[in-house]
Amino acid sequence: MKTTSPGLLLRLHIGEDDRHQGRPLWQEILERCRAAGVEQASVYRGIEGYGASSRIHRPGLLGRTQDAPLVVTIIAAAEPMAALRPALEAMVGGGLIAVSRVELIRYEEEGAC
Amino acid sequence: MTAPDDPSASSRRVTVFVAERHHYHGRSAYMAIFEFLFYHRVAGATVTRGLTGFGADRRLHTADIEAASENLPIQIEFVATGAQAEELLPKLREMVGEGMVVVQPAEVYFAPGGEAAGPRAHPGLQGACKLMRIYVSEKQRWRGKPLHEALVESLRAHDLAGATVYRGLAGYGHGGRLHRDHPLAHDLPIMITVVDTEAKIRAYLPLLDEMIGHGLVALSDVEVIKYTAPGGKP
Repeated sequence: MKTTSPGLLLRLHIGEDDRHQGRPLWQEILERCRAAGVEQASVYRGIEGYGASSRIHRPGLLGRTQDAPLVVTIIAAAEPMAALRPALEAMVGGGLIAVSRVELIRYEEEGAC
Repeated sequence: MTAPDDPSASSRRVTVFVAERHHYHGRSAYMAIFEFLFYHRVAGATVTRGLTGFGADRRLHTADIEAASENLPIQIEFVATGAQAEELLPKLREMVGEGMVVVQPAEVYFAPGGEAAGPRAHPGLQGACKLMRIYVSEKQRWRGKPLHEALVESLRAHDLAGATVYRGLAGYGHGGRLHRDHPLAHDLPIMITVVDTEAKIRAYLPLLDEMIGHGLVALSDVEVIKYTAPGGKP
């Protein structure tokens, strides 16, 4: 089944080592999203980058980037997104949050999930 | 079956001749052509390998003596409507390289099923375009192969300007299950990003509808500043 609707796409640029109350920030964000009923949220790791702190994060000796740049992409309709945003903005201490309007196409298998 | 005075309504039988070792973008040309036809939903196509033959270079390609250096003639045959053939031919011409394409009028006496629309020509990319993000799971499959691989092949067959596949560290889709990095699971979230004109992306969507059973697609506006191939050819 296919449905189409307008939605919002939020991208949070954070660091892999960022923490929130002792737990990895990206994990906290995902859980917050799930609790808020957000449709789709995923975390991607960059291999190099720099952000608000201007420190360049790049691969170290073992080929693994220390505090690698992460992007969390969140997709939701306008209402749940508006409800979620204040919490996310409070959680991201140093980073960037960007939002864009999207047209969403959902595919669902009938009888699945 | 069709009006005889409308040439685009009658059928064409197209035969493509290439050598087995012809390459197109790093892979065998005949497989690239075959996939191109498949993803453009040509009603049917058959690839046959000849026993022996020669082409424009007048060199004899044969299997019996120099079996180790096989470069046999390959023939790909398909039947399409006149309009569909018109749409496919420019790209086929590019793909055959030194090969040959022969088009003959044909009358389809009997055929099962229907047919679908074909592709559009690819203009250079500049200005207002669409960014399409396709969210699927790593373990989803389509006709025996990973769905994300099939999607990239189908995007290329439809001449979309480019596609990049990202594998997430963790995430969940609208099924609600959390996917975490696990060495054996191979069930991470996959995102494929594609940029092209709105018309090209919308023309591709019917095929996407067919391929994605479960997933999410987000379209947003972007402005293309530059799009060039390494050789400078747009």
